[in-house]
Amino acid sequence: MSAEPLLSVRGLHADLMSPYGAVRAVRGVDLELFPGEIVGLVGESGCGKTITAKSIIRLNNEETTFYRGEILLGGTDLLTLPEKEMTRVRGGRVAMIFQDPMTALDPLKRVGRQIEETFMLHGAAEAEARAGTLALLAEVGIHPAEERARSYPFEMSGGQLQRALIACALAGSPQLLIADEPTTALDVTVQAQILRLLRDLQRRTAMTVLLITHDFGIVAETCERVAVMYAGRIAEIGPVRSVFHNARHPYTRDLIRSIPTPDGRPEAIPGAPPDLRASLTGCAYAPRCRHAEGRCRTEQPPMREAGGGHRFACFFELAASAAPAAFTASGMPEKGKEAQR
Amino acid sequence: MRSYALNKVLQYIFVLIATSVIIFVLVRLSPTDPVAVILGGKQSSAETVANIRQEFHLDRSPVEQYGIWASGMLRGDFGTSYQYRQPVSDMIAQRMPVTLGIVILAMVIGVAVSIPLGIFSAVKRHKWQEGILSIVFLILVACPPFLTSILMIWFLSVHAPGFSFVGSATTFGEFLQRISLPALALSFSLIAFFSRVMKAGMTEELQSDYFMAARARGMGRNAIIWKHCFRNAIIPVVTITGLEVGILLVGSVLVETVFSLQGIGSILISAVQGSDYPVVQGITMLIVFIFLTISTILDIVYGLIDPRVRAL
Repeated sequence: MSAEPLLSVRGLHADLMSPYGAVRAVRGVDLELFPGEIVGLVGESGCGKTITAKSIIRLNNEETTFYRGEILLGGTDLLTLPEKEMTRVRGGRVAMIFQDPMTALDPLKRVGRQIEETFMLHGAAEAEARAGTLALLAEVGIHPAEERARSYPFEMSGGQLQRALIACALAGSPQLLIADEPTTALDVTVQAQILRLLRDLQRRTAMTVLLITHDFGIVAETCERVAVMYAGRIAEIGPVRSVFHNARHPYTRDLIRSIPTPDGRPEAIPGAPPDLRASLTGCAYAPRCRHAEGRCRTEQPPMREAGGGHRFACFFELAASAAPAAFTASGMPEKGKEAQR
Repeated sequence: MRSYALNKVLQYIFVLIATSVIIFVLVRLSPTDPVAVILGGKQSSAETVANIRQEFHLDRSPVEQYGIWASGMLRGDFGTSYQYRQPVSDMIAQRMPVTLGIVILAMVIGVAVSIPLGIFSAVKRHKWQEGILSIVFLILVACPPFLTSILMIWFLSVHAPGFSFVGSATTFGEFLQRISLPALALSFSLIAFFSRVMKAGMTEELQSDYFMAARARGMGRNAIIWKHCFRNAIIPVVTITGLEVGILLVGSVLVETVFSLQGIGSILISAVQGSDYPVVQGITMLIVFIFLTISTILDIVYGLIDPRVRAL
């Protein structure tokens, strides 16, 4: 990891205007992505992770979205870039793949043609584009490339399409690839293959990957660093190992505990995330947090260092080690039973 | 694609034969005796009646009559009119250009105007341009062609007395002048309908995942609209074009009457009233033929546009 970040998001706010009121979906996100790393961005649905990602590539509806803060890519602020120049950044320096591969391509055009199109958008000539497409298809594991390039999207399976879309994203040799829940729509077996493919490609091309997911398991397998988002802010960020085994934010701990395991029952987090139309005072997680006390509801906790690039936004110094076990020992489940009686 | 097209053509032939049987039977269900029509209600001897029955093949069994009619049509012979005693094919040939001209011109105007308008109002969604166009479409769809025709005649007579739109045509230019107003009147509801279908289709495409994905690949909005969305959004328009041809053929009957043009409409109406079976059969069959031919062509076009359709 080099010292200069490839992308730094600073104090990003994104307000979305909707008929039901302004939704303050992103509320001050700070995030740095360094060249050649895979960073996971996790959180529940509606926590602002997708809006954050779409802000980076500026794909939110710009007539109804208001940004504050800055998103610096190699020194240029993407938020103030004119649309015309942004078009060159998209697919060129920053590419993105989406959740549902079945609907991400024009159903009426051959898959290969659409990848060629991407090459040509980023300055390749027709013949180069064709050769590049076949090479990329082979690289993402689609064989025989020549034949499959002539397929229409409906003739391919979800896993193959996601591979094709990854090829498409690579066509402009991006420095940053944003993958928004790239495996959510796929079978579990295919999921693992796609994640492995992403990791292999990332190593080979040295690009940076921002992997958005709600699945902590995927992060643990794939990423080097992880950022946990809650209610439009980063709750905790750090190396995967450190965050996973040594979570400092109660939300992260609850999230980890909600992962189903073969021998333990997953614990659901009680309550629901806050309504992002409201203005929130204090820590957004306080209403659902088992440790919350008075100041959590009035004061916003600052970002604190836990060492080794591990940071978290909480007032408490929770017992550093073996967090999940400690929680079980504290007898929370029993408390729940008592309440039932 | 070839088997898909072949399939469509076989279907076409089958439906054509089936409808010809249905038309033949339906016309024969009428209680009026053709001989009375042919004689025009005059007293006549049994001999004359027998002659007429023979001349018009009425002495044959219904199955034989159908055979004579159907095989005749293949040669372009639609039989002889009871009322006018002249070949039905001649009557149709004389009047078909006006009706077809009106239908085709209305269709051309409709498609040419509504596709750009539909796309435009989809692109300008939630803006004032869309609001105005929505109102315009609403007014256009509520304009019955006969009313529009009458208003146009009134307007032109007052403001452009030189524009002649009635009478016979000798040159192609005159012909176009004659059919322009009825076609325009018919095209109004067509414009409203097609524009809304095009707009709905384009709006959906603009919100589609692939639109966003194409933007993420670095394609500009306009490029995506023309290279990707257009083909997807035009599919429903192709579908309704087929249906609309039938509606236009019928609608044409109406406006021809208002503009006193010699089209198919007027003879069809008088033939139905006068139980002139060969004319009714012939014209109905012709309309069915035109309708089915266009539908089949459109089905094949549909297959050309959408690979999923031809894979079926």
